[in-house]
Amino acid sequence: MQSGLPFSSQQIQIELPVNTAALPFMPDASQQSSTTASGNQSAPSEDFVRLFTQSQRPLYLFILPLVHTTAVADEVLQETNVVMLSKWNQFEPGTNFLAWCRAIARLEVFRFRRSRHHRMFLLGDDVAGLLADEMEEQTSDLEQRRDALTECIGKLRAQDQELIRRRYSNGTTGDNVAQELGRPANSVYQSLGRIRRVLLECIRRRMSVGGVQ
Amino acid sequence: MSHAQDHLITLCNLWCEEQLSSDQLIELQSLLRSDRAMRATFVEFVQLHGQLAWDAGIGVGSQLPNDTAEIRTVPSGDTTSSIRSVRQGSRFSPQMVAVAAACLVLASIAAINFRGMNALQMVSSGVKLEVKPNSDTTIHQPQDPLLSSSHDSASQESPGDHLKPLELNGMRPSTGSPEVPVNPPAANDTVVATPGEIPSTNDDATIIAAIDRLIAAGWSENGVIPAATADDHEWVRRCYLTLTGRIPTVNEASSFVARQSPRKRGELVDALLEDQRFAENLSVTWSNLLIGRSNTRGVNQDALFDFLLKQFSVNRPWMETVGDLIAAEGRSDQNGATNFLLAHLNDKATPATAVTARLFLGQQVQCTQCHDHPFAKDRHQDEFWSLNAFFKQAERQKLVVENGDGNRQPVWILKDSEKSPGMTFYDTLRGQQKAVLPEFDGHAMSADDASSRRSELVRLLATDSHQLVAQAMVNRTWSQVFGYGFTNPIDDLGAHNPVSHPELMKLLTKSFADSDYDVRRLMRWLTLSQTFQLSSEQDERSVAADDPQEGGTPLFSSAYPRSMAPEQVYDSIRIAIRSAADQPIDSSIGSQHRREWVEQFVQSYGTDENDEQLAFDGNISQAMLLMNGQDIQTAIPLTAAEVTKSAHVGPNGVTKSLERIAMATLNREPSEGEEKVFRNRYRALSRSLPADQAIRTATEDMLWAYLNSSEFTSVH
Repeated sequence: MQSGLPFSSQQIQIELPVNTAALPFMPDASQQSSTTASGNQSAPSEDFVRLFTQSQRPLYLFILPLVHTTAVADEVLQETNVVMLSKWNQFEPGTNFLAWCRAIARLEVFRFRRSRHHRMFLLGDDVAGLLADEMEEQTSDLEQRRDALTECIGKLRAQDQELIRRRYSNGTTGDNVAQELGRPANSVYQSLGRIRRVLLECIRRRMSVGGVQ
Repeated sequence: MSHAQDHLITLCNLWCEEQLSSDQLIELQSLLRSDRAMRATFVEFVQLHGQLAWDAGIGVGSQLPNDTAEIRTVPSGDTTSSIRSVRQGSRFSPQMVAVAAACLVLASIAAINFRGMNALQMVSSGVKLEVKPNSDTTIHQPQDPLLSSSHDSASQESPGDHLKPLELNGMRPSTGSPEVPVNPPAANDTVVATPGEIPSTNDDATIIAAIDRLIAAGWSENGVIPAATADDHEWVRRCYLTLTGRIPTVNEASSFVARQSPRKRGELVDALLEDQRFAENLSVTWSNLLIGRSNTRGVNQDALFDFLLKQFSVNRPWMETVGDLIAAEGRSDQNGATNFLLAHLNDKATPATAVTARLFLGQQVQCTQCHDHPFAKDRHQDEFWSLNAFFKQAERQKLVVENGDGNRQPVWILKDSEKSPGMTFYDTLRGQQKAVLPEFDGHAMSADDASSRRSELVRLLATDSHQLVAQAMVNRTWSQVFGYGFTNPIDDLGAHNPVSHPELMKLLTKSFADSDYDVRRLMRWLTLSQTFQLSSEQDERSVAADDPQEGGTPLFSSAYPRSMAPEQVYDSIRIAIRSAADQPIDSSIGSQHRREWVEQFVQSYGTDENDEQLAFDGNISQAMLLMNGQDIQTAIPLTAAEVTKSAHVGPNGVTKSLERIAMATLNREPSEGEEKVFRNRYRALSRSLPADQAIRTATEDMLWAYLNSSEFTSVH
């Protein structure tokens, strides 16, 4: 995975997500190239659906650092899902499912990044490539981290818990929260920053106690 | 925690709140590049943020895409409210406002149903899991084709700006009989091109095939799935708007749809290209480009228009038209071509230089008047002035002549001075004075050469090694047909500006030059390509990847909806109203009325390019506000009366009236939702009115609602 190119497309052998079965309204001629994958027509197997469902959170967490907002991460995740579902029978059972879908997600991230001219808030391609590599080597401790996070939130002061709850409830932003509370946006950002810091340190402590290095 | 780590976390926090400044972003990047521990921390922190976001349900959940709808449905409410405000104070009662608003909302719902049907077809073809996201995500889709154009009005150079075609008020009456003349097709022509061949000849089918091959290559590179082929209703509307600058009449559209010929699209294109209305449409477009819509500089708009019309009617090679415009001499009323330069010779002919470069060469040189181009390393200040030097000989003189009515009318004379103007001097930013000679494409004229500099420029353009005139015309025509050019903006070509389809632009440029700058053939290649046959209903999996409105590279995987130009709106409203009432599209309302109407939107600026701004964003409420005057107030009830004349007699009278006005305005059948609204309205009215009056009033309301919809003012 340490290839020189960030998001090298050779990392994954899927062709375009052209699935003629899903396209009864395809133009008559010329475009219906050589998409063969006849098996695509059947619905994904139960096993696949189970793996697919489990993969959603890790995939989302894989995509988020490579784009710039949660909304975009959602969008890219959806694109990734569409490709995964149309390619489901190209997955070989027994191999690493998460690696398979990360590779697809990586391509989708790349496509998203290329489709946007104004990349003002995006990290550079090279940095994103490094981050993706980093995450691909990551040990899969996301579950433990999530449990740790839940515990750590429980230890926060009540008003901090409340602030986090407000900030992360249904797509609000720090600005909305500031408005709701009638506080200056800046001070809300500072509080949120402080709380995230506390949470990070708390999680780190728990993870090391738990023995995962 | 190290100081650097600490700082990183501060930046991460800003990242999570989308508050990073561009400097901080750069800082963050260099930290992340610098070492692995930093990257690990960044990932750790952002994933912490992501866990919180996911658990709170910002994440889509473990299921399929389904939540984008709420993000994008905003426009419909918006439209309704703007319409509401337009209607206030007009003759309509508040309940009717509600009806019109409901109709509009339903108009978009109808489109949803249409897409929903695609999703259902997919169910039956056995793709089960995919169906769910489709039927959900479709909800935001119709907003795009129908409404987005009016809401993105502020976006840079709106596509509507590129597309300014339209016909003059119909020169001849068009009546009942099937109107689409069918030309015997050339032997080699095919609508569906076969991809995969390399054009070796100058033959239309090969060039069209090459367009489709190169466009399809862009799709596969980007994993984009093209839209379906547009149905006849959708296509015939776009075809008329593109070629003649207005929607088809009911008769034109229905006779096209009813035709059985498998090659009918090619036949219609060929017929329209030969039609006078095509020439008129191009003449309006180019007249607007050359001298603008407002007449503030005393030039003779009519004479220029007549000149252009003559050129386009006989399909004169574009290079010759360009040459005529640049080298024109004589009186502004006798040689219409003179008006182009007469409009731009002010201010040391710097506007003439800039506009010539922009329109004919596709180059933006206006900034290099004062300094070298900041980004384009190949653009230097001296080039501006050496191009400017070609116009230095041109002089204008004012005559005052009496025309027939005894009115005194200013007439200008454009001619070259007898002697050579010598060197052209300019100042650099550092205050140095420099001097240049006329020079283009490496050919300079000597200072004492007394021959016509403008004629020399024309000669150099025709032999230009880069074929810039062809390239600029190809790029502009492409954007007129497809909504976006190969570059953005379309008239700023050069090494500094990326080209979306470089190979295709090159091929079309060469083919266009080889065809002896045949404008009709160029238009034919584009409109007969498979790409032009596509629907504006984008495949939803391709929305993110092919979204030029968001600044992405256009891949032309669907027809991009765009706002009509004001001339198109004007003409289309006329067509819609008159053809609903089954009246001939006569030319009794001259082009003068349309010009006055359009001028209300135009604001001129005395900048270096004699810029003007079009305060027209395709927003129908704006158009209606103006149309709501006499014209529409009287036309709508008369039309409704005409439409419903015999409606109360037959059993399907109510439905037929609705169908008639839907076809006349939107060139499609009414949707179920629209029908329901219409029937309810009719039922409500018939409680207090006799049936014929009830149906007439309901039809009036519905016609008003249709004309008010964004669907009506889009080219899609």
